[in-house]
Amino acid sequence: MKRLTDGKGLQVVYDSVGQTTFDKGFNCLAPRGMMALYGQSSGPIGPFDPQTLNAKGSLFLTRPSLNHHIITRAELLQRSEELLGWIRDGKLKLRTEFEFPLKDASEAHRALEGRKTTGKVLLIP
Amino acid sequence: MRPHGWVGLGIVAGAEALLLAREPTVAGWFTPIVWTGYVLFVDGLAARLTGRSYLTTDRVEGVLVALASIGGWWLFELYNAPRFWRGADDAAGLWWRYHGLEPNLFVRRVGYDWAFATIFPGLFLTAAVLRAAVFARARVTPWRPSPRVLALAVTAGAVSVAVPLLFVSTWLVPLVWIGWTLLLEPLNYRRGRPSWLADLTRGDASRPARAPDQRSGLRRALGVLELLGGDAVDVHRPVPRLRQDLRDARARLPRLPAVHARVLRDVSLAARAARRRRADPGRPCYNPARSEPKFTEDLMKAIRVNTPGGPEVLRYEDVPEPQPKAGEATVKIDAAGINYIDVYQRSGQYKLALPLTLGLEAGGTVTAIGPNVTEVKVGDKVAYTGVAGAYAQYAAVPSARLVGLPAGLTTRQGAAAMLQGLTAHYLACSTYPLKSGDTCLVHAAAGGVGLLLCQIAKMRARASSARSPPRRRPSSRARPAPPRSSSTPGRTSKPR
Repeated sequence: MKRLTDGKGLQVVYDSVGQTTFDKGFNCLAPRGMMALYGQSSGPIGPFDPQTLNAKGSLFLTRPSLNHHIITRAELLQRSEELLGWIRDGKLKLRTEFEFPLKDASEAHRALEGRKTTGKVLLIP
Repeated sequence: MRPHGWVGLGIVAGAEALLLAREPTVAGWFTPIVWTGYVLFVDGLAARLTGRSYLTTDRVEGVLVALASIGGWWLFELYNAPRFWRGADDAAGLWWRYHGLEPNLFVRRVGYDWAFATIFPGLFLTAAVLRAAVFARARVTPWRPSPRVLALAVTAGAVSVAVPLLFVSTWLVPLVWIGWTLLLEPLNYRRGRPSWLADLTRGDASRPARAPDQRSGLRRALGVLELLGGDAVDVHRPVPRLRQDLRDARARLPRLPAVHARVLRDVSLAARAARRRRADPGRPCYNPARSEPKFTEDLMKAIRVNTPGGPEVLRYEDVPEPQPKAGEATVKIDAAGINYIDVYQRSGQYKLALPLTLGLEAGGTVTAIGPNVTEVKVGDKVAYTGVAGAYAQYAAVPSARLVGLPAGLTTRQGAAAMLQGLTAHYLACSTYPLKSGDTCLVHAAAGGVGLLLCQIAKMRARASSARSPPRRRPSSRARPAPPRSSSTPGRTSKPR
């Protein structure tokens, strides 16, 4: 990883996997880089020593969640207008190949958990 | 009783019978139908007892008031009816909303005020019947109100009636009723019309001249039949003859259900609900002890979790359609997004109160709004996230959470974009605002957020500098790798 960035390391690691990737992600960061842990699909992370942040180079660690980024209506609108604008202009591609009727919700959950889907899965009432 | 009284009684009984048969039109228009019947019935009774009533004497204004009383309720129900129709046909039921008659307009306030205010003639007739039948027999001490008291009453009444025209309050009904009483009673009194005030002024003299009532309690109770059968039943006759008369009178009465129709309806619904509960214990159904009666038109389909577990615990059920409270809007859902957090909520890893309707994002159309909603209007295409209950046909959502969709975007795209798209947006633009020259690593890049985050990261690189895009790990691009949640996480590459 350091090789790919000419030995400088990464400015930010976006991690939603958690347990199995968390420690390795720290080793890839440049000094003063940021670890953004926004999910933990492989399981919870054990106790964490803040001294690690110093040892690996004055790193930042955050555990953000969407609710805290759309607290006011103004912020919600500002974010969603930009996002929806990108989608409308074709700059951002959504993948929505998987749609299920509402009554087949359990089928949809089975497909999602069995990793038979990619992109967004929608239920149509 | 006069013939139109019998007609009114027939209307009331017919409406109750049709309601019992679950006739949807009668259910939707129940109040004005029964109110019309009641005004006719009580007017017929008043005409029989007092010799004067709105519909039988030639007082034009009285007829007008009585008609307005009936008409007011039909107008009022025009506002309520769409609630009953919505299940069957959105567009037809909400025509008045699509034509710009928004619920907060003055027109609606006048409609409410009129409807409740015009109950008064009905009450007045009822009062006349009660005066003639019951209170004329009570002892009354004479009391004459001074002109000042009368003027105060009229002023207070006028204000009380006018207040709901300015703002709709929860005290609307008692305000308007008391207002009309205060307003009309002194006016009737001054103009020499029959009124409670006039009775008070005359005291005992207001009682009609009749022999002292020496009947026994039973016979006095049977005196009610005097009101219905008129002279056919003479309660002063010897008991055997009286029994025969009562049988005759009863034979002439139209056949009515032994129990009031509403009670019968509750009993039959409860019995059916009990049968269904026995057949399928998981099914939510009508429970008279806990809920208001629900018409089938008010139910919708939703996916519910009654016990935590695997995908099979998701049940497709009938639940009451949500009504928007203050600050809320009802959204008819076109598409609901599935997220991995739904799986955690379903399986019980995230503890939530049950039963639970899953789903944290959706796109759809606003079909109704509650009080104090300014952000959206009926008919808007919207999307939202962060409010539970999207796996359903309708959801009541705080209007501050609703985002209007720009022209050219479908509600399905809106549903697909909100939760994961906004997450990717704040990660790339706020948590760490990516700029040209930055390098980032996205784990699980084939997952929902990962796919979008990679695109936004590239976009921000181009926007900040066309010449030198940030070097990104080539392996962090979307790749059909198994995303998310597993013992072997869906990372796209191993850090070296």
